[in-house]
Amino acid sequence: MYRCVNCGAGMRFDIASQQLHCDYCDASMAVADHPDERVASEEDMFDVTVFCCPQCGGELMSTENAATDFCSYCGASVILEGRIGKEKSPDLVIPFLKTKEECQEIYKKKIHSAIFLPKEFKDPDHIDKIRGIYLPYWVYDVKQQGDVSLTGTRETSKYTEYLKMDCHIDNDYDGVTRDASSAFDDRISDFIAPFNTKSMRPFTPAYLAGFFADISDVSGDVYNESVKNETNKRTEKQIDSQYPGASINYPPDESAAFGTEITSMKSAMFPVWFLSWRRDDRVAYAVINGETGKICTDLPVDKKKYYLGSVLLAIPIFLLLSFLPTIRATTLVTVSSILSVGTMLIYAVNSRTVYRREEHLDDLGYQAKLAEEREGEAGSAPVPVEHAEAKKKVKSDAVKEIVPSVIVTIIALLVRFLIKPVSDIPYYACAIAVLLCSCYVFTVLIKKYNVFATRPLPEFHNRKGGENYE
Amino acid sequence: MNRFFGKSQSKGMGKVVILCLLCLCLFPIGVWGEELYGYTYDPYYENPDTGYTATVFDYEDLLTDEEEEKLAEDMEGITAYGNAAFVSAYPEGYSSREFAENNYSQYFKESGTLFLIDMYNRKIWLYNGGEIEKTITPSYSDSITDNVYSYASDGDYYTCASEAFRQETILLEGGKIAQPMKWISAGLLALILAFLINYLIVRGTSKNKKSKEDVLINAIAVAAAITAGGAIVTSRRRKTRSSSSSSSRGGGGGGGGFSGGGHSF
Repeated sequence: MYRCVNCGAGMRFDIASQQLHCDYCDASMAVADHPDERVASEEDMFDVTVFCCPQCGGELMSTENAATDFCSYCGASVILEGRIGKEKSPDLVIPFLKTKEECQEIYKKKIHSAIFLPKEFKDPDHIDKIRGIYLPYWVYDVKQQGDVSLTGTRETSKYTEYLKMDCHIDNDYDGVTRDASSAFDDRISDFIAPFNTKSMRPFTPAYLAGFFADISDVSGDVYNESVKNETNKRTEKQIDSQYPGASINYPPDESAAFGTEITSMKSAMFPVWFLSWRRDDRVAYAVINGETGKICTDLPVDKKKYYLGSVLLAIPIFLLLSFLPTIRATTLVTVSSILSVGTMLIYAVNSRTVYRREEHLDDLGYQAKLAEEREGEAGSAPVPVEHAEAKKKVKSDAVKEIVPSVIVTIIALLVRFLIKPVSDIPYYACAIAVLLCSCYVFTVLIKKYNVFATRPLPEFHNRKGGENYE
Repeated sequence: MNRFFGKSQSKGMGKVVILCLLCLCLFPIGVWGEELYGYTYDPYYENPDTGYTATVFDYEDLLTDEEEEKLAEDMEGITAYGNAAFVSAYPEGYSSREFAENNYSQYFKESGTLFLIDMYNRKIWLYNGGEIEKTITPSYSDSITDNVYSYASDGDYYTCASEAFRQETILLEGGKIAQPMKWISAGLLALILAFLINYLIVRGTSKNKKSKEDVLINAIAVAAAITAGGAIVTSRRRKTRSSSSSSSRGGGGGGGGFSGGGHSF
């Protein structure tokens, strides 16, 4: 803890002034001027209190030792267990630039248009739980150097021209970032990106005063290929701009062709404001970039609000349809079948997205940690493992949830276009059956959307927690 | 305005238009109602106030004499607003719509309604014109034929026609007719559309957006130096003319006449 030189109370890093500030005696001083700072900046390790959530096992560290009463990872309202420890200092830090109040406003603005959101999201007490957390990141410097020979084609009005292009590349990309916490979904870090790495400064624990920090648990090597690929894609764009009109064939191994190498990899702490909301065994996050204010939120739907809203919206649509010419029974079957096929397509797309999200298939950091636990090897880019059981469950869910609708729609279309009964009753019966099935599919869709818009309770690796916690 | 009660024939609009034109050409030959069946125009009832008539042309003998008289009485209410006619026919080679339209124009010059039972196409058809059409809209015609077609299916042609004229009279007098399936269908459709719209709203408002490429690149320090040599053309291949490009050139040269030829396929 950084103590005030005047009164001895704990100081915190004040975002507005970018200085250490004492709330007790109102004293302020530059980070570099604090007497403890000179000692801290020379050490590789720094003193922290590590708070552990007894429910999910998530750990947050802080330079403060005051008790904290909720977990940002699982949203549980519990007193986190604290222990004194030492942590390795990261190399770099970007201090908070956006204040809590500014981020609360950004959050309120974002959720303003979400009309079906559970009411707790707009509760001031809930919004007040937004917490400043430094997230661990890896910062890569990448160098590309070499001569590259490329081929391509260019279309003119009369000819297809085959081209040969030689160019020399000498590129430096300094400050490519990847999050170093397995608890932090890579997709969230993509959405709140970028952090301006040009404004990074050497780390000192003083920046943590008054905030929390997540612990780095993903090796930097995990992202090597991903970082190289990102820079290769950017170089491709630069080369494309040099040869307007040409369609260039890039070699499969671009890293070798461009001479792409990671020249340095540094650890850093980046600021985010973090808010979590929990219902049963699901949690939703709102994460705001503490430097730029870019927000990423999970916005689940309150099913009651959704159904009520749909019934209310149905009234003007019903009135509108009443003014239109009578929809004949045959037309009704066709229209309802089209709508049914539409809902089924949405279902199929959603099922796939939810499956990938639940299995963390696009989260390299999580997969790396999982592979490390499974194989005991750290530091390589993992191949996402698809669990047969999870796949089987997706299929069995689909059979239960959508196959009745498919069958009813097929029957309706057969009645409409093949059997063509004289009486209207079979048409209406089919149309009503199809529409009722579509209603059911929509209820399933909303359920699925809520799975998509929330996350399972975190179960931190090597720790007891989540649903298995006893 | 039509209601199938047997084997149906679906025809495209273009086909209908062409047939209508053909019919117009054939009209002088005389194939409609009176000429087809050799009957004369003899109204059952003439409204003394308006001069509009109620007439029954039961060419197919679907009704008994008593039923014809009763039906004419059922149609009297309509004569306050326009002419009314019941026609049963077997217009081989013609659609119900053509037959109804041409009979209407043959008998009525003003406001009127014609209810046709077409035994050839197995359809019932309600055709309205003038003042009556302003109240009995195509949508209402659909509803009325929806409500009465089952009587025709059962062979009860009198009830079919009588009920159709009764519902028309109700509407003309400012009343309402039952359209239960219309409301049930509209209700369910409205609910599904509301579900869909709200779902799209949910997906639209919950979307998180990634920063654009230029914002991402601005956040890192880039020192890019690409020395690009000139692009050397190693070989070149003359493009072969595709059939689409040929015809496009032909079209340009030929102007409007060409496009007309294209439509004939």
